[in-house]
Amino acid sequence: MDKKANDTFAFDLENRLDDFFNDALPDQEDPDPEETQAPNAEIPLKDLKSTILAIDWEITDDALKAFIDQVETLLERFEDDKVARTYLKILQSLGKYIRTHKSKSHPDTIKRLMAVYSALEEAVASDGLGQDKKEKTLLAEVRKFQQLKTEIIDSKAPYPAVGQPKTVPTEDKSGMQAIIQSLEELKSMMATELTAIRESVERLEKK
Amino acid sequence: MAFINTKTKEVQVKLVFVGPGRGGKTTNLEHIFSRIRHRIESDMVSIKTQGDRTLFFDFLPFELGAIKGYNVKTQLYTVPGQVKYNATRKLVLKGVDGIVFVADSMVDRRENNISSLGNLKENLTFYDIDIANIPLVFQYNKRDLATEGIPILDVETLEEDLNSQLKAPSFTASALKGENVIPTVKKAISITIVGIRDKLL
Repeated sequence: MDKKANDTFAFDLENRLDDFFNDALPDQEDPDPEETQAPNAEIPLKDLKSTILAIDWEITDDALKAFIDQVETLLERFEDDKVARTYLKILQSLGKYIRTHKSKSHPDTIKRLMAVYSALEEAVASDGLGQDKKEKTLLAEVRKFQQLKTEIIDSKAPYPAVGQPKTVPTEDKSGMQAIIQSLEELKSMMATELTAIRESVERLEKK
Repeated sequence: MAFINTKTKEVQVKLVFVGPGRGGKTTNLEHIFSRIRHRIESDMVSIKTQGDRTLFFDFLPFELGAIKGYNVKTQLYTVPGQVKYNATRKLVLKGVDGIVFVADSMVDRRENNISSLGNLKENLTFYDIDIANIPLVFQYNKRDLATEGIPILDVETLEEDLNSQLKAPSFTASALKGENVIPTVKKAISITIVGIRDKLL
């Protein structure tokens, strides 16, 4: 290949790339009609959605920390919205469970996390959704969460044998003790949160 | 190996974004997509499985247009960075024509960058590709973290760790802010297509 052909090719290529990318839009995206219609309440959930997608992509400590922090922030924000708070409590429980067990979490956990988020988004962002419908959806999600929790407890797959600490080699003892301790904390936390969720559901049912 | 159809005058090149987990590969692709979405017909696709999570990646195909009478189609892929997903990485690298290595500039990710590059070399060797012979661009991502007081590696260290022998083009970048994302991908496409020009001319 002669030099002239090479130069022309490189020139054409650079021009094509410049045309293609330089003609690109500025950073802001086209307004999405659905997003335009969504009320402002959806905005605080956007970070949470990104984080959930990140967790779905790859379970990392950073993503889980961000997730738990964002849920806590949202719990304060939706202090007076019992439906949203219940969803957030479920998300918090799931997030803490995933943080403890990471890739050994029950295979349905991420799916549940996404489903609960979708329900939360719908409840928060849809002004047109009636309270009855919101509560009905919430109850269904609570039942699915309880079902998952039952499956996790029944399978005990990710749990170490709590009753066998004596067989642990001395050098691993501190690590195992830490796991047992975190397990106990998780159990306690889930029990507390489930109680809170039950109370919320009972209050909603009484309305 | 680039797919070249001399009858239909089509060329298809495959670029793969690799690098350590959470280094910003998907963010790169998302930014590219946000910048060109108005002029491409295709969509960015994320292929994932939720249960066993064995195979998932991002995929962004688009047509660059005609170069020397050939309609050039480009496919951008990312691979999962986490160590355990090597089977997926290996699979996505099959038929790769060019690579963007997205390194994480954070100080505590230094070893991850080095091991990720080592893993890339191994996986390319599986396909009988020498990393020194494939079009490659380095991107030193997350430079914006310095402004937040987070310690980052200086460029000289990153170059020494990753690029001292390969001497590939490199860019500092902040994929999150979109800084130097487009120049990175332009360079990667450019050197990849230049690598196959003998077959086009």
